[in-house]
Amino acid sequence: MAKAIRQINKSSPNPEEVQKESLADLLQAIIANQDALMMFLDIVEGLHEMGVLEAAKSMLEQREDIGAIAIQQANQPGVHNIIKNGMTVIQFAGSIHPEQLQALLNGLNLGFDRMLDVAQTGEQKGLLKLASSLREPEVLLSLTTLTEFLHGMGEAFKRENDKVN
Amino acid sequence: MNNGTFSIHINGKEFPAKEGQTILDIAKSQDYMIPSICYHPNLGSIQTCDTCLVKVNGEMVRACTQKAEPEMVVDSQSRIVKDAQYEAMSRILKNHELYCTVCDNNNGNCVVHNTAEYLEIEHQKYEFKPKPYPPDNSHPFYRYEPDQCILCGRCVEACQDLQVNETLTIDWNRENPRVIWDNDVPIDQSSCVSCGHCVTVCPCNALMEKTMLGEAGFLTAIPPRILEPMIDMTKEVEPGYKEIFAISEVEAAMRKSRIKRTKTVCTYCGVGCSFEVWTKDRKILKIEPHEDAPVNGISTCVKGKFGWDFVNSEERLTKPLIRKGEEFVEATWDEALELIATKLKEIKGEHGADSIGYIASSKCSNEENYIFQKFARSIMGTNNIDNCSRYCQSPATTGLMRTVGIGGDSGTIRDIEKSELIIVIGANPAESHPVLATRIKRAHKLHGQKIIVADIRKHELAERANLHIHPKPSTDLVWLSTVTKYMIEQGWEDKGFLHSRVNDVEKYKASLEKFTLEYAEETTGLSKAEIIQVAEMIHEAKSVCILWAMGITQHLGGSDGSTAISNLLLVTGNYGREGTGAYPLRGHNNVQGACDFGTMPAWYPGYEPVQDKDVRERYEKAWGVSLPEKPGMNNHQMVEGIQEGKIKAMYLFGEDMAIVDSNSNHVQDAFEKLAFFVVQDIFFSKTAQFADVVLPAAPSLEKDGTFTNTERRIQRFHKVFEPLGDSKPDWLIFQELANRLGANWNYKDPGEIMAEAASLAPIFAGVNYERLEGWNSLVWPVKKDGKDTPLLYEERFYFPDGKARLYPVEWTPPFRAGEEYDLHLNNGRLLEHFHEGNMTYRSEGLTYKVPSPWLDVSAELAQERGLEDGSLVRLTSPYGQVKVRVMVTDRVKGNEIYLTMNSSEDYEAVNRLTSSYHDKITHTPNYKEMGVKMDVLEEKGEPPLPKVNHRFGNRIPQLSVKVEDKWSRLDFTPIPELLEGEQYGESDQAN
Repeated sequence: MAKAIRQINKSSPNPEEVQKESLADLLQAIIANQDALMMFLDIVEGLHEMGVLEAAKSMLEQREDIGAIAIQQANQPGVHNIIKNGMTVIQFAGSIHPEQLQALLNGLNLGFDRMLDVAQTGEQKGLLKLASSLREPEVLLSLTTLTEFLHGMGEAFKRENDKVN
Repeated sequence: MNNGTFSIHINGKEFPAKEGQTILDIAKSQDYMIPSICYHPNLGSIQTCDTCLVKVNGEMVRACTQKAEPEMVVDSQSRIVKDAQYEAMSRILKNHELYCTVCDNNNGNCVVHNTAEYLEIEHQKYEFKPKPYPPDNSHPFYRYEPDQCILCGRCVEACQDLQVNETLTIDWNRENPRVIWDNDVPIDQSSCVSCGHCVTVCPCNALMEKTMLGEAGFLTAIPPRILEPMIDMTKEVEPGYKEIFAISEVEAAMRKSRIKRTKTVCTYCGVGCSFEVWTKDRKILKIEPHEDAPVNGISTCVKGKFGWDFVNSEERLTKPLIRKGEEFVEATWDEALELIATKLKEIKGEHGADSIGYIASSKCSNEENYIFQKFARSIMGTNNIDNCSRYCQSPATTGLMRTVGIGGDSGTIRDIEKSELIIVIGANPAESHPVLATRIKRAHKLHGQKIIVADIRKHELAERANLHIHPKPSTDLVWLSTVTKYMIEQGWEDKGFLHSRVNDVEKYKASLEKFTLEYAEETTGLSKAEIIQVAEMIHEAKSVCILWAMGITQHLGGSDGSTAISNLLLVTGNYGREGTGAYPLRGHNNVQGACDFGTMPAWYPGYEPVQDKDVRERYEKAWGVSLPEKPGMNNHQMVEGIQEGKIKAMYLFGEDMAIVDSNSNHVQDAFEKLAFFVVQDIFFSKTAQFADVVLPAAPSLEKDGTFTNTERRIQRFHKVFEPLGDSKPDWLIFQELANRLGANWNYKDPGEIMAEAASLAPIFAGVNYERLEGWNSLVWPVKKDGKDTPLLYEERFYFPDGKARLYPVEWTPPFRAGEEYDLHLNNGRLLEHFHEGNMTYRSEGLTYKVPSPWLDVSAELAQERGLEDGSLVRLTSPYGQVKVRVMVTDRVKGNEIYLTMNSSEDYEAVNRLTSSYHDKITHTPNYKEMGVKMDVLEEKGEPPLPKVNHRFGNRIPQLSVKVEDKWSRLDFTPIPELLEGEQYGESDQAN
């Protein structure tokens, strides 16, 4: 004979026992990681002495306000420019062919060497000699390259102007 | 060209193609990327996004609509095609702000994100402008954010033509088009049935499950006042979208490690929808259906999509409970199982093995049902085992076993889709089998399928039907037999089929003599013209499926009614071909499987009789015990057995018998008499209140296993969470108990249980877990080599000579309660709640939409009795009474009333009213045959159905999204036209 009943006696676990069990678990974990924890505590102590912890705590508590201020500060033309310029430089670096850059840098290198030689010896060439060296193929090649560079730069400037117009 | 197969060339590569396939179909079938956004495999082409533009013979066409032809040459990669696709994508991004990394839809499957990335979109060509509409957050389960909506129309297509609820449209005539609900009302007040199709198919974050918002991403919970400037800043400094996509991809990849995706099978009806559950710890983020799911594709109903909160309910049972005096006290598993083992042993010893009854669960897995019947038979030594199919579908099983040999659906949902004529009798699929109903509604709307509904209620399918007949309650056998007789008289029977494949034809024809049109007219109240029209429609259709449910089975003549249906199908040759057959719609997720795996008093797994010596010996050998020969008691007999003192103890799991059995007063009275009663459930049910020991079980999301749906399809589900608290999977509980009673079972997982069942029951010979990986499924019978049988009876019926049998049946007049009980009480399920609601009421959203049961009364009756929406009435039958509030509706007529069954409170539960009369063959109660009288208690009151229920909505039916209206807007230029213009005007670009 069993009438329908709804009453359930939930043996709500004894809070003291639950606490004891949790403590025991914690203690075990602490013992297992004693060295690491000790070092961690040293670091925490240092941070606390410096006042870093307090600052961090306040920042955490006010994270939404601070986040809003930070994003407001970041969302300014100056910052936009920094980020954009940074990305442009990176893109530029990415667009250069390594072999070409190497050729250019080799050229620079050798150029510097000869330049420094002259600087050290203090040797001076006469005007005529200078003029005649313009006919040397190496110098001609360098000059041609530079002119082409000027051409290219001009073309890019012109394109930008066209876009604006 | 060979059998409609040929090949085409896309970008110089050869692709095999079939007739009727579009270019996009072909590319997709070979995993070849042609971009597309609005196209969805379950929806077809919608033609709004234009990202799939390709060139065929020099002309720009949409790959999603262009049918392939032999030797067609397709170009999807030339400059002009790329420009066209880029232009299409740019137009989409005008309507959609890309802030992927802080978007909850950035989970690797965002179609807009992935397409934009594929098309290498670098910059916003057209400036994004917010639309002048606020987000719609009114609905409890999902939101619409117009600003993010790309107007692709997938949601509209899904609502109009797949779910066919016809709520969503896009208003193309506004300056800023948007998706609207009904006549532009808040979502919550619309006709939306919350099925979730629109949310599932949305290719971006415009429509999203509310459970995802602020939860899915690592950064998506950022408060708006920080988030908005962040988005602005990102847009300001972005070098191009490529870098942004890279970051969002990294973030999406990170999400994979914390969002778990697990395939499961829905437990809310017999249709067997499968989908992924996305979870973060114990939180359910969303249900994600998948186009490859064998039954439902991306379809779901409100319960499957949104109704899973019960899993984490505070009310879940988490510890075993033992009755001590007037209360239950929490106990350990050890204490509980030891007590059960001792008591069962004691009672068995004293009163014999047959003094204990075992009730299995049609909500639990095949493996759990298998192991439970093994427990009852091999450990406890009795065949007293049954499941709740006794309450619903046993008569249908009997009708089919008599005539065609297998008690299950003849085919699958594909056959229902393809059939020319669907006849639905005594079933309300749009509410009780919603996803199955969508396939009928779609075939009817798009493909000319005809529908006949025979029902005393004008439910949704009845409204849509080509013919709705309303016979007098419980007279279906008469009109069915009359239609059969009339067709034979007209010479419309399938003579060849009858001759070669059916026995007892002449005997059956003779039995029809009394079913004249006149007799039918008088008995059923249908006109001769209606009956003839039914016959004509069957005659004209090349294929017919008949679907039925409780409106046929829950009657005194339930088995005979089901038999009459099968007879009609046999006479007209509607078996064994695509698009034909008998479909008893199973109500619970695993009614089919519970029966298939042997929790029945007379059958071993796979429908082999317990009396059959050979069969029994097979099990005896495998289990190493001797087994009882006599069939055991069924549910009904057990309850009577308690009253008679034969049954002393019961063990019941996953079934609220005290509520769902008819004449619940009587059943509850019996439970009080039990000497020992074990109830195992996920909640403290009404039945549990009578128990001596209550065991906490784990629901499907907390275990592995398989379910078998109404199609006979076996599908695997996987563990999503660990069992809550101390609860355990049912199979594990049975194993632990069995071992205390001397068994030595050591199943490590349900796969081993299935392997054992498959080795013993021939119809499951080829079933194993490997064959059910992922979205794979098997429709039994399954041969050893894994070949399954989606369509039955193609070659032979399941009798020794392979021939079907026509089975003469007589009409049984329904139970009459008496003159004074002047109203006919009908009852059943609702869309929003499963059964009596012990799971669905744990969902806040579902309870908000439907807070309580109610009584549908007709306008005539309301006028006669002075009732209005909200009136409180008392219904009294010879067996009990209930109090319930009224809704006045045209869904019911005259003196027929309908009580919804979503309550587990005695004072409003329909089974306080029903009787213990039953179908004579199967003992299925006649739930649908009760007369009641009505007293009006309060004329005025709060209507039981809130205004935010879909039943008050106003549908806007149309075909698809009306893309023509988009194309005829003044600001729309077709992309090919635009590009041609640009080609001629190249000088413009250069200045």
